[in-house]
Amino acid sequence: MTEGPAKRGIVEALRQELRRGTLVLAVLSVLRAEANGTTVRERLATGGVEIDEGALYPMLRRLEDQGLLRSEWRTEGARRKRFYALTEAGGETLETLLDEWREQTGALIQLTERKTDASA
Amino acid sequence: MHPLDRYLRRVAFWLPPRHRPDILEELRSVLEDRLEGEAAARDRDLTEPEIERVLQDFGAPAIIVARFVKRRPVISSGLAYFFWRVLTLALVAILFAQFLVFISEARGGLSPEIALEALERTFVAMLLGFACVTISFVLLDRRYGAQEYG
Repeated sequence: MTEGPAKRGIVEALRQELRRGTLVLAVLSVLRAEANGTTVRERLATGGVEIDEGALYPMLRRLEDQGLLRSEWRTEGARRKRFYALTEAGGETLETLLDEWREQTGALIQLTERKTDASA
Repeated sequence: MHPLDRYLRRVAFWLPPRHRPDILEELRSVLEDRLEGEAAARDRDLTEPEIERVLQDFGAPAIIVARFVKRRPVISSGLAYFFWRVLTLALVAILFAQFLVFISEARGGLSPEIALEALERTFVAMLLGFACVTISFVLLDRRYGAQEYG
């Protein structure tokens, strides 16, 4: 394996790929309760999931275009804010993704435990 | 002009007209919140460089737009390798063919005019070759919808 900065770059790229795969799931999960973008980001951060604002808002827009979220503008204080919530399709998709994620996580745990047993 | 307005103007430049008002309004709301938060944390108004830094941290306008407006690539990554191979082969073949033509024309005596004409012809031929290969792969990609692997 390459050493130093090249290796760190590869590991970081793979780490980001792993995170990207679960970000949508995390965003849909926190939107079980309606929220604006700032609140979504705060809920994610409370759960240990960090996401750039510059990445969150396009994702919310994309999920809305896909019919998984709905949004409406509301005035909060002096400012209009866009609030997002799961649609029915979004709720069903969330449950499907959660089942898929649990299955994959279970399989990975088994695989890694098997490897640990084999190397013991 | 306020840095935020300048930033949003740059974002607006890249946005498709259909989505522009909605996305801009949301971005303005988010960024105004963020700037307000930063100012409150400092207990004073932000300076222009500080505002620019907040906007820079949010993301370059073109990058933000690219995230909002995802489009299918001209040639998907599944075909990209083959595109570059075919393009390289085509351009090398064109260069070789043009070289042969140049040699045959230069037999009667080499002149700057002949050399210049050969260069122009080669340039045009390579441009045409690039266009033909690219259009062929774009059509292939649309027809067969190449998948991404790995």
